[in-house]
Amino acid sequence: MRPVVWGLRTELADRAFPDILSEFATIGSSLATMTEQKKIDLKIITRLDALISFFEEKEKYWKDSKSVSASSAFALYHAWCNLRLITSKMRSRFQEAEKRHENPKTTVDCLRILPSLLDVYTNLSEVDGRELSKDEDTATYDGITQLRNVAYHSGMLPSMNDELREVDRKAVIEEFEKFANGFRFSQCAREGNS
Amino acid sequence: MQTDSGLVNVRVKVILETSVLIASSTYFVSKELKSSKTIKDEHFERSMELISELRKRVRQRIGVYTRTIAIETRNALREAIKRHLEREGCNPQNLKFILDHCDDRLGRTLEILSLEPVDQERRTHFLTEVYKMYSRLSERSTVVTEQSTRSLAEQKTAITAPPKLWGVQSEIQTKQVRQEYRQLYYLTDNPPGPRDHEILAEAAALYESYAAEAPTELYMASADCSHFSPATAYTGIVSDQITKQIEESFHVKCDWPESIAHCLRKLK
Repeated sequence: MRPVVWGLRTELADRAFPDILSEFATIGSSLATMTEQKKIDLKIITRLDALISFFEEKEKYWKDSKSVSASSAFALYHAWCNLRLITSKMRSRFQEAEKRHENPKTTVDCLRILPSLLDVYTNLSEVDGRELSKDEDTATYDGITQLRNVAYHSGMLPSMNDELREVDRKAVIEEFEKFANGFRFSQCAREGNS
Repeated sequence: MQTDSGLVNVRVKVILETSVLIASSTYFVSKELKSSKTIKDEHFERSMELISELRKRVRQRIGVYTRTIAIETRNALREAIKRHLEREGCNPQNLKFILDHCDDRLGRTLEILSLEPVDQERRTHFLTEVYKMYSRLSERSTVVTEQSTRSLAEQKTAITAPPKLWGVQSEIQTKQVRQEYRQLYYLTDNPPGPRDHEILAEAAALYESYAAEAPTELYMASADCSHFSPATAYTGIVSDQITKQIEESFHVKCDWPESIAHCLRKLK
């Protein structure tokens, strides 16, 4: 199955934003049909794979890109990465739908999340590739907050353990402890160090 | 609902300030990550006491927040991540993970609180009052110098200790006076930012609208003793010049999250 996906991936990676939008539209109409017919069509997995690959390319690019400031590159990396993670979760929900007897729940959940995915994607199509203004930076992060929130309530958010598989757990904990430590701003006063 | 003070039909509301929301979301993530250092840290644990108390009472709609607080909390998390980005050798993948999971946890916490609308006209009115109050307190804090502290300590020593103990006693008194005025020292070192003013102005506007409906006690849970909550020294001496002024001017009782949790447990 993979070679077909890779074929599509290469094709998609070169596509312009409107093509990806039409890919979303196709997925949306397939979801609507599946929900109506209460029948899951696994062909959607190939389409989702193509999107995942496209998002992954973008994510990889922005992870190490020096073409814009570190802050803008991170905001873009963060957004593309979340698009990939959530689309991957959609994919795995479809794969398991029959086994878990989640028909039509899976398609309904996907339909619920699609508008937020599209919002994030539309925003990225406008700002990708350049330095983000303060408002664009905020809008990009807000879009992801909203997307993850909808994904959580639709069972489309990867679990923490799923996400931990992609990173070095020990390094994350170390980084997290440094991060958390930065917020202990007023403890000295409570503890009473004079 | 009845408060500890015995007042019948006094409604209690707790507004959660940014520092508490950040501490609780950080604590949740540390627990899931099994980061023993952060789990054992009292700073984060304290906020959890309040969050779990509010979760138990979610149907009473005691815990509240405003849009400004939610925005400010998210900005604080994002800004902290951006500061980490500037460090050499940081891994964006790890930072993305931390930001998303803290943000997710913040979202879950906000779901047990009520988002309150704020009357913008009253907010603007109180904002001016808040600026005036902090400005007066800042003026007062400039009087609290090393010299005035020593002078006050010497006066106290002269009254309380026999002359042969004046040397030792004066040192003890100086430390105590410093602790008593600690909050004002903090205010000099760390003046409130525009967002602190806005959050307090919104809390004041909320109190006004609550009080117009029914007698209400409004607490503001904060882990920030430079601008809101009392500063308690290891000796037990409490410095609350700012906290008291806030309550006097705006009827908002600022306190540490665990102290408010303790009060809530006593509610009938």
